[in-house]
Amino acid sequence: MKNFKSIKNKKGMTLVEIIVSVAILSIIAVFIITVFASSNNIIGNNAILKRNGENAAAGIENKMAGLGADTDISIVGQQDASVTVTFGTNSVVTSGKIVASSDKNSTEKYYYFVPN
Amino acid sequence: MLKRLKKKAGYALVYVLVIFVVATLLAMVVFSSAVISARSTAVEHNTQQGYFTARSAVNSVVDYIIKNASDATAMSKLIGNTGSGSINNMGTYTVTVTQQAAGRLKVSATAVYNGETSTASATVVQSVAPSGIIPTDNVIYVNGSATSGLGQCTLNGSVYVNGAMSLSQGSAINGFVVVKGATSITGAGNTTKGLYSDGNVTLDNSGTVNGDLFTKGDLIMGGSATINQNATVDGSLNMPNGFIIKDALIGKNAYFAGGAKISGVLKYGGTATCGWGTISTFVPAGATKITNYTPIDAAPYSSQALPIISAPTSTQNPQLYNTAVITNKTISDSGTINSSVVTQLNALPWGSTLTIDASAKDINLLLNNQSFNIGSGLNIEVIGTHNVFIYLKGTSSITISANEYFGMNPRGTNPRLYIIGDGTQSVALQNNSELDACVYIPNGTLSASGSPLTVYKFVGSCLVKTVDISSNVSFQYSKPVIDGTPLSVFSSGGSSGGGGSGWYIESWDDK
Repeated sequence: MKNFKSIKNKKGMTLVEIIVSVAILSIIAVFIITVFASSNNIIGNNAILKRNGENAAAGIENKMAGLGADTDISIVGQQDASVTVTFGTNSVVTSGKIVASSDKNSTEKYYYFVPN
Repeated sequence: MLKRLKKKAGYALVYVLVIFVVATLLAMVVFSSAVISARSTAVEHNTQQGYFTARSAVNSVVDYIIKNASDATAMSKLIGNTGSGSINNMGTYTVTVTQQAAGRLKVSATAVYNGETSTASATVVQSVAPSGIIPTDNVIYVNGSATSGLGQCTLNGSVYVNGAMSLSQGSAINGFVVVKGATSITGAGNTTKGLYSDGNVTLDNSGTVNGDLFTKGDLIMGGSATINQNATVDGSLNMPNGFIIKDALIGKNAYFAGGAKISGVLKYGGTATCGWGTISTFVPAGATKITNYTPIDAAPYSSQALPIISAPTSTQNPQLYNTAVITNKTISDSGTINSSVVTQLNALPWGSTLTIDASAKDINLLLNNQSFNIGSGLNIEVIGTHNVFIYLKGTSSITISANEYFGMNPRGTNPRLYIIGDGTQSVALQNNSELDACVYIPNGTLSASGSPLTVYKFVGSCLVKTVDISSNVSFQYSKPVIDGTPLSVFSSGGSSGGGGSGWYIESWDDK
C-alpha cells in the first residue's frame, strides 16, 4: 500500500519510454525463447546422433569380436574391397571386405576393413 | 540505476530488465553447452571412425605378415619401416611394424579421419608348438625307467626317459636328456648336453653335464663331477665335491665341502652351510640369499601322450592280410610276412639284398605272432619316396642278425621305414648289424649290443618301454618324416617344443 502510494505520488514514465521499453523487452524475450528452443533442439538431435553412433559402432565391434550383428539396433553390410599400405616403394595389398554399420534408423555409418 | 531504485521511480521496469539480462545469459550458456556437446559428438564420431580405420590398417598388415612370414625379404620391407595409405570414406593412415623380440612384432597404425587422429596397435606373435616333448624328436625315448638298460653307449641325439635313469660305464649322450624320475650319472666320461630331471640328480666321479642342468629335486655332486653350464635346482644342493662352471640357482639349501666349487654366482633360498671354510671359499664370485625363487616350469619337459597304434584292419587294408609276395628279391606291395615268407627269405643266398620298393605307394607289412630272424646276412633296403610300415602284433619280434642291414637306400636319408608295435614286441640288434628306422613300440623292447655294421648300430628314432644297450654301441638320431604316417598325431617341428610357424594377433594394445 505504501508502495502504491509512492507510485501515485511520483511522476511516471512517459508513454514513449514505455513503448520503447516494451519493444526492447519483446525483442529480448523473442531472442531468449529462440535461443532456448534452438538449444533444446540441438541437445535433442545430439542425443539421437550419439545413440545412433553408439549403435553403429556396436555393429562394427560385434564384427571385430566375430559376432553377428544385433539387428535390433544396427544394420551391417559389406562389400569386397582391398586395402593398400605403401612401405616406401613396396605395397602391401590386402583383399577383404569393407564392413559398413549404421543404426537401423539412421544413415550415419562406420566403416571397417576385414581381410579375407 | 541505484539512484532510480532509491527514488523508486520506474523500478519495476528495471527489475524486469535485470531478469531479462539474467535470462539472456542463461540462454547463452545453455546454447553454448548444446553447441559444445554437438561438437563433442562429432569429434567422438570422427575419433571412433579413425580408430576403426587404424585397426583396419593393422588388420591389413597383419594379414600380410601371416601370409608372408616365411618370406624374409618380404618381412624385411615391413619391419622397422612406416607405411601409409587411405581408404575411401575411412580417412588416411600410417602403419609401423617393429620387432619386439624373436617371434613377436608390434603393428601400430595412426589414422586421421576428418581431422581427428586415432591409434590402434596389435602385438603379433608366432605360435609355438604345443608345450612338451615330441616323442619322435629323440634318438631314444624310453617309456619307462632306464636304471640299468643304458649300458656302455654313445647316443647322438636327445633322450627322454619316462622314469628314473642311471648312466654309467663311460656312456655319452650327445643331446638333451629329460628324465621323469631320479637321475644318476656316474663313472668316467658320462656326458650330456643338458639335463632336466623331475627327481634328484646325483653326479659322481667324473660324471659331467655339458649343458644346463635343471632338477625339481635335489642335486648331489661328488668326486670330480662337473656341470659345465648353469644349475637350477628346486630342492637343495649337496656338494661335498664337484664343480659348477657357471651360476647356480638353488631353491632351498646349499651345502659345500671338500673341493666343491661354483665358478659363477650362487643364489639360494634356504641356508648355506660349509663343511669347512666359508661360503666364499666355495663360491668366490659371491653368494646371495633370495626370497623369490620361482620353481622350474616342468611343462616344456613333459611328453605328449603315446597312443597305441595298431595295424590297419582287414577292412581298412585287405591287402595287408594277404601273404607278402617276393618277386626278384623285391616286395612292392603290402602283405603279411608269415612263416612261408620267412622261409623264402632264409632260402636266399648269404648276403642277398631284399628290396622293399615304395616308389609307387606306401607299403604295409604285417608280422602277426611271427618272429622275423633271418640270420643269413640278408640286407633289407627301402627304396622310393613313400613309406614302409611294418606292424608287429602279438608276440612278434624282429632280430637283425650279424652282417645284416635293415634300412634306407641310399643310407643316411631320413628314415621312411616305420616299425610299429601295439604290444610288448621286441627289436634286437645283434653284433655287426644296423637298423635305420623309426621304431614305435610304446610297450616294447629294444636291445642292441656288439659292433656296428659300419659306424652306427641304429639310425633314426626309437620309442620303446625298455632298452638294453651295451658293448659301446652308437646310436644316431635321424628325424623321421612323420607327416602322412600314423605318427603324425605328434606335432611335427623342431626338437623339444619347436614347431608351428603360424602368426596371430596376441592382443590389441590400445584404443
